Amino acid sequence: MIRFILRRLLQAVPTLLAVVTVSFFLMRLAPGGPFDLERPLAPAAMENLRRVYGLDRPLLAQFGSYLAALARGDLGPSFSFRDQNVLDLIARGLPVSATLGALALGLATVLGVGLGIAAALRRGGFVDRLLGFGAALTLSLPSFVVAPLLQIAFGLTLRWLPLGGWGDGAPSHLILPVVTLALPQVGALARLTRASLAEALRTQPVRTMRSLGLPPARVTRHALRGALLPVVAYLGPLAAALLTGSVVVETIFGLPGIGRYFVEGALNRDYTLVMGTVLLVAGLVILLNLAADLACAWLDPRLRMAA
Amino acid sequence: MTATRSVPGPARRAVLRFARERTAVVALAVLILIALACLVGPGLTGHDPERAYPDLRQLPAGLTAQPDAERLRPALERLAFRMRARLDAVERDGDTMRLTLASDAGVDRRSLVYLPRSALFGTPVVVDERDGGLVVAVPIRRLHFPLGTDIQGRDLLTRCLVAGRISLAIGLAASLVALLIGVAYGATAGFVGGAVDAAMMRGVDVLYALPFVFFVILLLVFFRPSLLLMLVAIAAVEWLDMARVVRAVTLSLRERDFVRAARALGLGTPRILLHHIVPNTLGPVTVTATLLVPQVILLESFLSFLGLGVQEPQTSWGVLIAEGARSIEAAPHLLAAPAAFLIATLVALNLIGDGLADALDPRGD
Repeated sequence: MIRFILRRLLQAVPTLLAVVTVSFFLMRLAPGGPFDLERPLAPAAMENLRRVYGLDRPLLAQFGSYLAALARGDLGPSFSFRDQNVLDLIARGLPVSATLGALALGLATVLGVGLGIAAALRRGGFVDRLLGFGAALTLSLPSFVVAPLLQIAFGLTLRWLPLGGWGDGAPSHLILPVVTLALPQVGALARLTRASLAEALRTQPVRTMRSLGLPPARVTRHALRGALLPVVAYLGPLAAALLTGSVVVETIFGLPGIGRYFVEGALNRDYTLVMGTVLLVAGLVILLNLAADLACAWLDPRLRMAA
Repeated sequence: MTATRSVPGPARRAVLRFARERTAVVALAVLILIALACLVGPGLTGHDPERAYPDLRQLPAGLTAQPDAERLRPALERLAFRMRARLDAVERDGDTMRLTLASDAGVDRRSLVYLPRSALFGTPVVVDERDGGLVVAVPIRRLHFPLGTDIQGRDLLTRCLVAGRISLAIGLAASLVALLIGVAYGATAGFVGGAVDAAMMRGVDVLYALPFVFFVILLLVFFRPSLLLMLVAIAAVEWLDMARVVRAVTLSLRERDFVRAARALGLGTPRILLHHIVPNTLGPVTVTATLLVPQVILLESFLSFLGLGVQEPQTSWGVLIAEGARSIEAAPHLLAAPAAFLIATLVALNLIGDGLADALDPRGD
């Protein structure tokens, strides 16, 4: 078990290295720089700035020192937020994104898995028929349409909730972004759960249990254990996507999360900030996928053997 | 004739089964309707997508002919001001207006050209002339804006349809590229198998772990956004699912008798792949591709919404939604119209994908 985890973490190193390399050279090969302003700086000032940030050195040397700093856990100073380290910015943005993501993940899981189970247990029933269209609908609702509509309805017309902003994490500020983030995933999770559970209920062991006269609740519980495997596997990447913040939702609601810092960083050619956020996202994707795999192994002994 | 009636082949059976999925058939009809409207519609609305009517900005959706009574007077006042004349009297007679224009310096007949130039009126005819003033009869144009106009006074319906062309074209083109990459990659990995397969699929796993959307945004921010770049970026992200699906199907096909026979006959790997493997993956590939197109369209409109995708003067649903979101308080229909087109298309594609998946499921019989 420990060896499996260690091996997976070791495998993550080349992936992260690839992320660093690709994003570093992608940004550096592009035209423009962090100090290109509307009104160009005096050449001497530009020269000085470039020297202070080490941009005048050869590209490979810069890459080398970035990697060396990274190995020490230093993500470097931000180019656009003066006198701030990227690590500080991430430490400020991550709690915002993580709070939103965790709440959205919880909401989507409870609603989606619940609806999926209800639909699978009563094939052709009301919930099942609702899901046939509802799942396709929620999957097709882009967050950049849902968010403005929610703002109009609850912010402007009803005046129940604030239009945006973080408000130090007050619950009223969280509701609209969390609902926007969770909505498309409810349909996806419900559909996945329904298909998987319906399949599991058709298998031989389940039929046998039923024919032996076991109470339906116990049969369902048994089937559910295996049926949740694909759902848990799906939750890994989903959690990563939600926790690291949706760029659109944070932009529309004006929330200071990771997605926001990434966009600001990209627009301002803030090399270190972009690298830091991209690395963070990639790292979280890997970690949460690993967590999902471990959860699957816990649910299914056969996978434990294979690992 | 009944004696020669043959058993329908698998393709025909799939079509028949699809025809039984009522929701999916309706969705297909809706999709075809939207596509047709986008294709030929802009020529039928009577407006050029770029034609702005400065006097008819942000009209709400409606069927009344424009300019209506309420907007006629202000529009005339503005025109008279531009003609350096006073509007002494305005009478309406059906579809013609009788204007009495006066000015201390005398009204210049040449300035009458402002009337037709506004696109709200036809060619004016001078009926009478007295003390430097003019009495002019001018026909009112009857313009229709079923979905209203945008902030610059352009017809929203025409713009939605023209935008749909781009959105649908990108959706199809990027999906096609992703499909070709995915099928080639998946079929090769599955058919060759062994260490090559393991290495190739490990590569896909690594790519799955990359925050791709972030890379696409980086690419588009740092290099100038263009249609081609966006197409490449989207296709590069979206082929992974297809590769996995095709590989899984190929793995099971590889050991089937007809493939073994082909190999025993000495056919080369490329030929077996092309003639025996790929045609038999078409079912799952069709389903995956149908579900891929809405994802691609969603990604395109997401990028365009952020201002990184389609650029002016070209437009897509994402661009229009972004414009609508900016003026949502004053004119909610600017968001509602393109959003409705986008959502209808995505829902239709998702429902068709579901229907195809059911129809092509071999256990369905």
